[in-house]
Amino acid sequence: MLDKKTAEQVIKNVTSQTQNYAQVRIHGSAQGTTRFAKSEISQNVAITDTSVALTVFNGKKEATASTNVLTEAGLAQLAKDADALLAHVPEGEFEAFPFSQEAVPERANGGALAQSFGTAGRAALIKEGMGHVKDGYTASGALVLDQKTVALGDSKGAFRFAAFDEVSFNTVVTHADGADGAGECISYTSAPDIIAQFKKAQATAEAARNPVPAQLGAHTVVLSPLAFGDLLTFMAYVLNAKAVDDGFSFAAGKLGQKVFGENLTIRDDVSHPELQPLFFDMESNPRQALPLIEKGIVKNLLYDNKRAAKHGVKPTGHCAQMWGGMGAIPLNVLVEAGTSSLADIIASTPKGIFVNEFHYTNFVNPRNLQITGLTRNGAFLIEDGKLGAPISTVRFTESLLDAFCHITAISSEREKVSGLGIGLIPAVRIENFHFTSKA
Amino acid sequence: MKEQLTAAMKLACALGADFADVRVKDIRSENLRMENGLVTNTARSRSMGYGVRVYAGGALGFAAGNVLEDMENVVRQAYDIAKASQTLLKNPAQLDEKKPAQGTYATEVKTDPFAVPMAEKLEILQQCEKAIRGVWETHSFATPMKFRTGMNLDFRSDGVIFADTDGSYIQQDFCQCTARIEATVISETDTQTRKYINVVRGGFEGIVAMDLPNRAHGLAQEAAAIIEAPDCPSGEFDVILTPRQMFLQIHESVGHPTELDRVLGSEAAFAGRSFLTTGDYPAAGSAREKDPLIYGSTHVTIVADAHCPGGLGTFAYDDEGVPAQCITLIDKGKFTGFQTSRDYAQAIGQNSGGAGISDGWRNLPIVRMTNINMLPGDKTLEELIAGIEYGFIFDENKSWSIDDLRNNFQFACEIAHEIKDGKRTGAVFKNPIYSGKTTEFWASCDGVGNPDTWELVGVPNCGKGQPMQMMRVSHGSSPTRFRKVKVGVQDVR
Repeated sequence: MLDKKTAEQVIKNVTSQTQNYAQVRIHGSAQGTTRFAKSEISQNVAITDTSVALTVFNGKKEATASTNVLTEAGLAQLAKDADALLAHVPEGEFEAFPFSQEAVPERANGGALAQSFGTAGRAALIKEGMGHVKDGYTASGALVLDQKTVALGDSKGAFRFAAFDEVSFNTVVTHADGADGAGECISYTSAPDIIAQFKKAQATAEAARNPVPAQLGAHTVVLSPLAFGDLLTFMAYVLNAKAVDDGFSFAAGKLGQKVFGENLTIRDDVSHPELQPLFFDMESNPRQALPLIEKGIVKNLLYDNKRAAKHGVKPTGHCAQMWGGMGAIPLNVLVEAGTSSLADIIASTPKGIFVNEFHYTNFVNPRNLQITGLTRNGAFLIEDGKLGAPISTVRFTESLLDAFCHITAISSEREKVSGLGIGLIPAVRIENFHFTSKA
Repeated sequence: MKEQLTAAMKLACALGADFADVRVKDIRSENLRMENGLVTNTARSRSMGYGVRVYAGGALGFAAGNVLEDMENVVRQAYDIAKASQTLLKNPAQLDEKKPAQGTYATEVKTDPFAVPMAEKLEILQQCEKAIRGVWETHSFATPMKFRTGMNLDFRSDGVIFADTDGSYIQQDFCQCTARIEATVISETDTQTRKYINVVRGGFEGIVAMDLPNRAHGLAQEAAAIIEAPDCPSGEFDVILTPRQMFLQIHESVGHPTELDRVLGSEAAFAGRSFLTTGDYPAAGSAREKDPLIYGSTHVTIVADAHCPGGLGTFAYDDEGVPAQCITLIDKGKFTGFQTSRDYAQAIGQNSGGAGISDGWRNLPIVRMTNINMLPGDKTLEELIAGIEYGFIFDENKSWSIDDLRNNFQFACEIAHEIKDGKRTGAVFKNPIYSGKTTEFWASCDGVGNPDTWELVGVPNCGKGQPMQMMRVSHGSSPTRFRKVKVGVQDVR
């Protein structure tokens, strides 16, 4: 893993070996994953890698070469490869956008997570968690420590560096008859409560035994933060100018228009202390905090450099990929919390279905935000305001343009949920949600 | 390199490993993308490193690094991780019996894609662009449209060296070529794309053989047609799936559920499980030998064939040093076998089927598909069509989803061609969606295209495992007819 000083030296080294304007991106990761299945450790891995990507420009021509061979010879070859490639590429649409040198915050998380979640620490935690898995049930999952490094720099002296640790955990507890419960968590700051997730998964699996078939058609559903976050990912993925220009976004022609219910407000905000502390994007632009959806209105699209230039606006600092192929992606999604607790939302639902998690969700049609997927790891009937019988796996097919207009309750509690990045997501109640086939 | 790997394996033994192996992979790639006639990405990359797997006391440890000089430390790290894994070990791992292997292998390459001049590659994409724009410029649309094109040519080579503590030492070199063409028409309210993607093992001759400009012309015509076509009707219809949808049908509803690690629960918390159990394996003397699980109709024979020419799952040895094999998964409708690796095969009393594969050097080998192919039948496409009173041909996958146990699937395609009274009417529909349950669906298969209609489709992005591994697999199939397929979701909406 490169530290800040070494990263800066590598960038200077690489940019000095080309006569062209050059941008360098370094990604480093030291990842430890302890995977368990059937209540024993099944895979236990440590991976260390650092790659350096060099993009060189000549007018409207650009070419990129990357390598993880960071020897003197390897880095020299990198510059030769990039320059050689550049000589043969035709002009593109834009000249280089020099890296921004505008100051951004830094928030290191101090390596405290690394101390607690090393190989031995992870094994001990999983062993302790397994103590909460009852006879007749087995647990599977993974506990991951990922120590990430990102550094950017160019031949004009720009330099950015970020290093942070991420701990993520997921588990599924399964009864011999197939009933499942799940728990998952992620943190960049303090140690997440792994044992609580084991307990939650165990309790859900117990409640999920002996399921009844679900009825197809329209239902009132209460979605956990995990399930709601899954749906939000698809909406957020296409809320950018490239997706709009390419015809793959519901937001085409909808900027400033009300497309969702008035109770839905979503913003992207890297400054939230619990979310991923990466304050610049892969084009070196400061990551802007922006309202995305405000009271159901599409307030902002996200722009990388090229799309921003095309549309005559400023980039928003959300470029997720080094050459912008994906467009701009929100990595820190926050949904405005409601006023009722999840327990109150369930208590005020006469009849419905509670969904703990969706599985294999996918676009059917991104233009109208039609999504399909299946329930997983615990779905229950709600009867007279109480969680009732578990239901068998069932598939939904639904347009989020409809579903997000029919949100009738949002919980006051929010949870950190993995999606495009990490979001802070509440539970919601949605009316008229369609289940379309039984598993 | 051989001396270094031999020393690493000796060190693993000296530390106390029961068994260890190491994979060194040097992966080079070139990516070229054009959007709307302009080059948007030109890149070359190299990723080199090694992964060391150690079994100690029946527990597994794996460590990977990209600095060759650190290999000794990485071996120690893998061993230490294996020791830590013993903290929670109930069933010590048992690898199957395998003879030490020595060998070399290389993908047959006539023209090295990395040596082909950039100008020649760009010329192909520019010809595709011209073909597409030519169609759209002359097409008469009822309403104003916008147009988008996207094209990729990607090339990859993998140099792989494998060694283990049993004395194996294997060198393999792979080369693959990818082409992708997208033609998109955008109306005020809708977007429709026709695309072609294929990935083949081999040299640049594979790209030339794809005849991309001609395909691009056809894609542009169909994209123009479906943007103004009605939605595909909902109901129960007879359907022919082309190989460009069959690959996904096979992948999701046969490939994944027959992976033995899923069956045994190793992917329960991530990629999912399988409706199959080890009890479904027709071992000699078992109940299933006499009463096999019926997976599909007698028209359905599907194999995992690591010898298939051009396939992304074609090799001489897998990433555990096990020789390539052809395993029959379904024989005339009867379930006959799982895909296995060394650490799982013993659960069904077998040796590995040669499906232990890792994504790059960073990852542990896990059970992965090789080339999961459906064997051809005896019908021409016109004979398949002739057997349908009213139905559709569904072409090119657009959307996919299947449940945790690989039972309930729902797939969408890009285009439906109407069939009436045994003939194509020429009418097309957009947004065809169909759904079903795995064994019921395969049981409804009553006709399979002959060898002339058989096509191999490469899948470059099969995700599985934690950390996520993206694998490259292939699926061969012919146009295949299914009866009474549920089409659309209007019945419950």
